[in-house]
Amino acid sequence: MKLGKEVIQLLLLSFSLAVVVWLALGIRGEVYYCPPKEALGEGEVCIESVREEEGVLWVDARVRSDFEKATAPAAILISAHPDEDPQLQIAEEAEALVQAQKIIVFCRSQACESSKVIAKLILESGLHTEVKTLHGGEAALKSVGLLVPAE
Amino acid sequence: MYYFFPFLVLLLCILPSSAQIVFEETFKKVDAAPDAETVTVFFPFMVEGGEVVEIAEFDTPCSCLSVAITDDRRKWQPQEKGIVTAVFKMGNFKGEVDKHILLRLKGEQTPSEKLTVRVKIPILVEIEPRTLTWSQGEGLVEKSISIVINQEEPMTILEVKPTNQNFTYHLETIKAGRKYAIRITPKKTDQQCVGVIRIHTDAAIEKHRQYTAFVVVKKKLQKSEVSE
Repeated sequence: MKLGKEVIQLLLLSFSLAVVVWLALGIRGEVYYCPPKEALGEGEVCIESVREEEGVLWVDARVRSDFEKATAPAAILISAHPDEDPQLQIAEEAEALVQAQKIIVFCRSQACESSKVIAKLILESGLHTEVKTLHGGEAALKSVGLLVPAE
Repeated sequence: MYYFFPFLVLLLCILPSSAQIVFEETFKKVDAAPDAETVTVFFPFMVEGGEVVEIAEFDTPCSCLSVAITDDRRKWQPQEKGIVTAVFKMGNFKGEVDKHILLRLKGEQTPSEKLTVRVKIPILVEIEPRTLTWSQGEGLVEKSISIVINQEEPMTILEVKPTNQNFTYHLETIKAGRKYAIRITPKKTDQQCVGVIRIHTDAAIEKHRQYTAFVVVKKKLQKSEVSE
């Protein structure tokens, strides 16, 4: 009888803790963890290493509708979507690209490849040599509150 | 020796349940025609093992790629054959690009199959370098961009339209329809500036009618900045 009571108490405690964790993570939004440096892909950076840096130009490689809803601070759109012309967008944003100290391209998720495609195009344009992609994409920006409503 | 029988029976029971989808190839390289709007790639597969396989989901991280499975079927019997068809919408893209398709089977947490399509869309006008750079305070020296037509039929460079008038531009025909050069000289280099050069061609295909190159006067790096 006593054992049964203790089991129920333990279950209730576990359930309460689970609710607390769920509420905490739910409020913060999507959970994002940066992997160790050696696990990052070529040209990838973690949000923690760049969030405080000055002179970073964020390049949003997602679709236009996502960019228009929320994006990184002062980000520009260079999209690999078939309806867009990334070469034309690079030309239109040439001045911003040249003046940036560092360019970081992001897309929807870790699985998306648009950021890598756009980073390659910017490097090939010769306008900048310091072009990186953001590990985790949109989720990484969300985790530190850097995905803000578009201006 | 007889002690091993139960383990052997158990092993035989487990083996047929390890059914899986086996693709003939998981990587395909496609050279697209310069005027192709889409590229279609087929990935034939067969179900190996003794159990039914169910495709829980397939994901394409790019909106430019659509995927279909034979008869839109998710459940596949042992030894059955099917095809995953990927259609790549090329839009305005030129150059080489890898696109992936991720397949996750029912009961799996993460995708077990990754199919890759490498599409090469020809660049008909080779521009080298894409960006000409001068340092702030540098002499007003002429530099040039080389343009080579990368297809059998000749293509004419009709005109170059620069956006920045701090430079003088001269389009030179080296071999009509095949090779050109743009000779560019800055009028001043005391301030940083950026310009876009739009290169217009008479290409039959619309997406090859305009290419871009850039001119930049960059801030001269201080010694301390160089050593950092």
